[in-house]
Amino acid sequence: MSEDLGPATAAGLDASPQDDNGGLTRAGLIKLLGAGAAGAAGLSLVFADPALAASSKKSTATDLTILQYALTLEYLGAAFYESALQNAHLTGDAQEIATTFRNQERQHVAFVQKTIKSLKGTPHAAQTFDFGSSTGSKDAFLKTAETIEMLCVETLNGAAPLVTTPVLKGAAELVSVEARHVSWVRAVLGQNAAPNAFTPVLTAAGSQAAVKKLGFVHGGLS
Amino acid sequence: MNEPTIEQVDVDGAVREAAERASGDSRAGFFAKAAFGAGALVGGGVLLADPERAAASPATDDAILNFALTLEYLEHAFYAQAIAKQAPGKGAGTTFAATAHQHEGQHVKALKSALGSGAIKEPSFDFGDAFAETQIFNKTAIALEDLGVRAYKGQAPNITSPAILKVALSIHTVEANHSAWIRFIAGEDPTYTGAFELPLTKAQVLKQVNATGFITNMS
Repeated sequence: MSEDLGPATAAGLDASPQDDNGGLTRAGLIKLLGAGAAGAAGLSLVFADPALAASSKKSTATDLTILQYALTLEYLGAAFYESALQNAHLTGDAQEIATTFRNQERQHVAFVQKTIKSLKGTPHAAQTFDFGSSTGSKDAFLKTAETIEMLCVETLNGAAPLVTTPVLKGAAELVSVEARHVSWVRAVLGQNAAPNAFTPVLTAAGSQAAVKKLGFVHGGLS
Repeated sequence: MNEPTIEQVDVDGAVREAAERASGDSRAGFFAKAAFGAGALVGGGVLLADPERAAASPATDDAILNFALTLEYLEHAFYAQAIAKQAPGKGAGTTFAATAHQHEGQHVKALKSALGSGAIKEPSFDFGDAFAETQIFNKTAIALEDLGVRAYKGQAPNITSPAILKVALSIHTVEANHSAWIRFIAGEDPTYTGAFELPLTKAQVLKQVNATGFITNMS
């Protein structure tokens, strides 16, 4: 692991480029990137996003806001896999996934906490989670795992341009591992494991709405 | 953690073995041209400079985009030839190759569009025996995808334009999707680096690409 601080999350950005982008200029590409993935919930236009407009003012305060949200997602992931290991009676590939991912998400939690502390912040405590029936069976577990991992990737990719360079570097070290999680789960489910040519991006608001919809955070997001 | 060498990435020597059979006789030329594209810069000293230390600027973004484009051309050609030679295994392997080929093609188009007339031309490739057996195809695909992930990861912090950064990050995670998928198919660990995956500098990436000899001519 590098010594470059940590991961990011939350906030900003938009949208996955669409399929046909032939013949574009750079300005065209920028527009394309703002065009959004058709039908994907929670996405918004890049350059219409005030969070991105504000990104020229990168700051420790912004870093910390984003890191605290990233910490929530990592807490959620680590707790989810632990719950699945305890409740879903997993075997084989699903059990290997749950064990591997739990251990890796725990390392991510520690990494984000350390990063927050390095910026003189105080990592918030883990929320209480209730995963309901999503960790009650193998099928529910795998489907929910895919949702959570995609949410993490899209959130981190959305947040990365908003944070300072050291935090961006840390986020990049995490996010490709989360992307690997997505594909591993999808492969076990027998699905196309690389669903997009360009990973969609979630805004902070889109990400928070998706977390809220999952309903796993007891008492909701603070 | 130390940066992996080609020997570590290419554990069974599949890439190097294929490379040895390829007529990769213009490696120095590739190294020079791929680094900065379209003959914009010459001189080994410049090539060996650590790109991470260079100040971010639009010129840097273009150099990064051409560097990425070179890797995408390579991957796209690799899958095109693999499919033509029916190298991927049946079932999941075929689906993987078709999907990755399509994605790399879209990445090429997006990068060329961003670069406009500054885009480097597609090089010539010789993949040697990489398609002789499904197992060799798998190992080579894994090596190329892993390299792609770490190349984008290394360049992202150098990018000036938020829009270009967004594209790079978006492609970065797709390369990770590809790697994990083909690793799963090949029975290898999809999260082979554990909880964290580290970047490579441009020089480190070029060294690995260069070692394959897959690129035979940069116009």
